[in-house]
Amino acid sequence: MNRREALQNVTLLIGGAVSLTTASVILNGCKPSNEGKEVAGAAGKPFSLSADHSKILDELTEIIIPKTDTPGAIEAGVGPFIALLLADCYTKEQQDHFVKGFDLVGQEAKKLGGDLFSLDAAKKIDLMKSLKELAKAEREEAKAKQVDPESGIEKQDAKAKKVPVPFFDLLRELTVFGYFSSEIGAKSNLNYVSVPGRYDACITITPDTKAYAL
Amino acid sequence: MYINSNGKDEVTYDAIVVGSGVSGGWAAKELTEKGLKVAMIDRGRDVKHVVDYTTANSDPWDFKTRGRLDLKTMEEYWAGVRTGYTANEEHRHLFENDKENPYDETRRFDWIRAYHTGGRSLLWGRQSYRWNEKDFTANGEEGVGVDWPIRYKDLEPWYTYVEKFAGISGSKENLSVLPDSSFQPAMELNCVEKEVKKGIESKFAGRKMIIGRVAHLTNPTEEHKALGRGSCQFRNRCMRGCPYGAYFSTQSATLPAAQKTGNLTLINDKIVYSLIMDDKTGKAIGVRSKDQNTMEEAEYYAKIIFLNAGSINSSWIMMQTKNSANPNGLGNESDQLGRNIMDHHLGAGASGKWEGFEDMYYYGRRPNGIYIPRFANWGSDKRDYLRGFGYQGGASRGRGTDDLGFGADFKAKHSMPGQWGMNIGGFGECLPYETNRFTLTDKKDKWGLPIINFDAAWGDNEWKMREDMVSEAANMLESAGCKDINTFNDKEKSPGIGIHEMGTARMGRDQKTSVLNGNNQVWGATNVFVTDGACMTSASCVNPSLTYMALTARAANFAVEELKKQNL
Repeated sequence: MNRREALQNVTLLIGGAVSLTTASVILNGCKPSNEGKEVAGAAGKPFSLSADHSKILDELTEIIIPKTDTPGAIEAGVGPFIALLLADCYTKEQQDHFVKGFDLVGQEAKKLGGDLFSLDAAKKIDLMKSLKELAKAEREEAKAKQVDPESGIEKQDAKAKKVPVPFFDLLRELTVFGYFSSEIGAKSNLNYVSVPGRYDACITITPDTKAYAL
Repeated sequence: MYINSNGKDEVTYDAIVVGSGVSGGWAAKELTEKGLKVAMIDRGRDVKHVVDYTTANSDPWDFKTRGRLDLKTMEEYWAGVRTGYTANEEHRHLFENDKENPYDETRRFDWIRAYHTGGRSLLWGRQSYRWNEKDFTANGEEGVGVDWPIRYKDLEPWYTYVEKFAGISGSKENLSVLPDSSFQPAMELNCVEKEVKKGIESKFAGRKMIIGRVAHLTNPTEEHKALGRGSCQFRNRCMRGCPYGAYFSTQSATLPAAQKTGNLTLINDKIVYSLIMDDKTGKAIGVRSKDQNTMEEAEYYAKIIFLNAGSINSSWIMMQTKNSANPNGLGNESDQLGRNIMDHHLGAGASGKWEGFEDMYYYGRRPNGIYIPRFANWGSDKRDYLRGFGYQGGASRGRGTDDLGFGADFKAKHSMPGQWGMNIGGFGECLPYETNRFTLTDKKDKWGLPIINFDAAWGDNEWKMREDMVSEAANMLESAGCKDINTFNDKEKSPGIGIHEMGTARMGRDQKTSVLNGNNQVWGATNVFVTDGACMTSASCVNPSLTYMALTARAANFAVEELKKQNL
């Protein structure tokens, strides 16, 4: 929604009796946020990704959600959104673990014959598959550590010890979430209906009917 | 003592209502419509209808973290995050910051607060069900707690009265376990829900699955329209405040009705913390308050006082009202004040997949689900625990494949409707236990007012019932044709989690065992009425707000009659 549309909607809603102050309060939520870089992480130190890591992150999100007949993750601003979420919503431990993931990316890219940006499309997918395998191995290793080898029972303190989510798992989850919850991603791929106005309990759809955005 | 500079007359009313949520709004409406000059005092800021619903039109991308909890919120809203939804970005501003409003827990209690005009009436789940006859007699018959001083027939006309005004959408079913309301047109079950309904009702004699009964207008009356209320638009953004006034809240319904009379004064930011008592008559003559922003003390005076501050805070006010006649707090000869905290226990049930109906979908976001009325310990059904539970839930379609995939193919599939799923979760009745209580500590909050300590837990009866909530849910979904059944029984969730806390100043027949009489009057202080959840003698298994509305309208009517007779 652009600012003018938003203002019109607000005005419609409350019958035109809207002060500028009220409108700006309502519209504040619509402004893109770039505060992420300044927000303090769990340890009090501001978290931010280096320019190199940001570039790699963008590229990785685009492999997960590529541009097709609709925009891809880069166009939807998914990378910066992930950086913001990492800063605001994740512990220092998880942030550090995620940043270490970029080393994995470099390492796997090398095995495939270069750096991430020099790989062709097929090799980029291979790279992502490798990262997925590494994540799987990491999950299984963590799980094994939490289970008593003799009894096969989960250790008592296992729940308390939260292990960080593997790089690929978090990257993929946040990319999918970030893309489909972005205005570009939601409106170009899904059926966005702001005010349905009624409820039809059972409607027939065709195979190309999109899922709802909301 | 601080004396109001404007003189006593300017702060004297016929009635004071403390709190402006579901029950406070009703008290204000009824008392003003009957001609009384009323001050409705809320401890929080004003939230104006529509204009202050700042996120009502926001989309996911308008929120900084798009609904994900950030670490700062998790620290500040430490109780709110326990619900899994109340601290979310889209409506967090309508809930309290727990760090700023601390409380202690000997045993965990999930206390979810909303201090502003309208209180939790803006934020409630809107599920609205009448109690049945048994709900009022079970305590007496089973020797649990104390007997209710009233019966269904005492409340029946008041249910009808409040339902017409509030607007309750639902279907007529003629069930003794769940008496019908005076209904707005029902919302509809979707395709899968209709199939599950058929399955359950054909395989389990006497069981029903119906559409939820909700306080949403689906066909507003002239009375509703005159208050500016419109039909539900099926946006399902209710908790942010409804710009259409389609669901019942103080702002959409009782407040404009009270304001129309010209008899209402709404006072914000004043934390009422005790009543001013007349030692000679034993009656209350006013309330003491502190301004939440300036700390300024202020007193307000009235002939009658309605406490509707919320189940915990109404009792908190009574605990701080001590004089020679009430050394342990107002109306507390029984030592029951602050005890018998009840809630509904939830988070136990089952879910399953539904195969087929790939070509069927729905349009609109129905802010309502299904309801399966209580069947346990009903009629000839007997269980190894007391009382019963209802189920709420529904069927929906998610988005396509979510198998850790990525790439163009994944992107396309994830843009399509996914498989149908159906889930049901129990809402179980909680018994009144004297040992489930809160007390005042010596610690003070930032206003110098006493911090509360909770000591409450589910009892054996609730734990047993939960096992049944899980197995019956799985059983019914499986019998109805659902596949891949998963069960859940969240044992971490503690009393308070249903946000239906109640019972801390219970009604009864005797001042030695209860705090309020059958007309919601405080024993020994007949001009003080408590009609929020604090008054509840038992909990039933259905959502409580509709019953609070009916009890409040009934008590307000009684209060005005008594005032006319000069009995108060």
